Amino acid sequence: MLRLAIELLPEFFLFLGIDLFVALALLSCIMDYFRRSVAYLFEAAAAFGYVNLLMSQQFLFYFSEYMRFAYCFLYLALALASIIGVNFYLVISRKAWSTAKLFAGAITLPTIVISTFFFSLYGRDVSYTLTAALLSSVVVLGTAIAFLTNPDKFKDWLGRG
Amino acid sequence: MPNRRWLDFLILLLISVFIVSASAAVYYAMLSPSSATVKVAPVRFTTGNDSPGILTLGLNGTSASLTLDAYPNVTLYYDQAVNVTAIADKEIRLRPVSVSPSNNPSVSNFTSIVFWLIRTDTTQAGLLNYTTVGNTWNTPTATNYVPITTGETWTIKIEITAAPGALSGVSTNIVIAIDVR
Repeated sequence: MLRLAIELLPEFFLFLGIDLFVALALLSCIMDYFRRSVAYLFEAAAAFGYVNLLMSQQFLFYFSEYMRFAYCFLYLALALASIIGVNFYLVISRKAWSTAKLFAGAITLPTIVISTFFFSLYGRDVSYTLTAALLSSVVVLGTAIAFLTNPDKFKDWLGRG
Repeated sequence: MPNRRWLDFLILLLISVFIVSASAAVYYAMLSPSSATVKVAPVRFTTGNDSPGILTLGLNGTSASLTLDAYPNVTLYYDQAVNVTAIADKEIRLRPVSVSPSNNPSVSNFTSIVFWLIRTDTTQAGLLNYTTVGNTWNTPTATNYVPITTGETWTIKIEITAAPGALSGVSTNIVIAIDVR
């Protein structure tokens, strides 16, 4: 059986999520399709993840591994949802097909593959897979509701420079 | 890209470098909070003068199993049932783990079983006194920690008293731990 030399901690997903938000912040800053504050919003999300990581470290022996996995994976799911959301925004709202294709190939697909790879290393138990599926569904549902309730105003806010 | 955007990018880049490196440091710290190293046990069981025929030592002397006799209305002493040898300066104590059967009619065949921890100079370092009340064993509390120095060999003396008219073939199992700190 192939085994990793170092076992992954649940906080690895938090760390991965922080990296994704940081990358999104820098990308949204250099892309002309977003208003200025969007990049800072992503950076704030990364900072929130860092605070979350610090709290997780302080309460390492009080929180169960399952609970730590749940909130860490939720954070990663939010980061992935943001990346996919940016991709949809480029296609649907800005009609920037070439940029969207480039973004999907260079950012969206690799991040999904990398996240899936690390989850497959960690998700030994069925309960972790079910929890991940549930959290992903909740994030997708939340994103869909946000788009459906007031899409024009939301899209307008995103795109204003 | 306008100058303002470059400035934003620079600010975000600096914050990003801080967040990512700090997160990596925190994660690395969480990854290796402790380590365990296998070492030779600083205190171990060794054979005493009365050990032949009654003592079975575990691997590396970290456990010992004693099979002792008892006779009705007689108090039997094993002056050196098993020895305890230290290869480092430590503190040790005797701690009761379990006694079985308890709350059983067979218990009344015994009166008491006493375990003495005796220093090299024959002074007493602690004792566990198991006594019976009807069908139940009274389990003693753990002894206080006492210092044992490198190279010292202490002994465990055992005193068994069976009740008058005790039945033949009745047995009891007592598990005791030696805590080392």
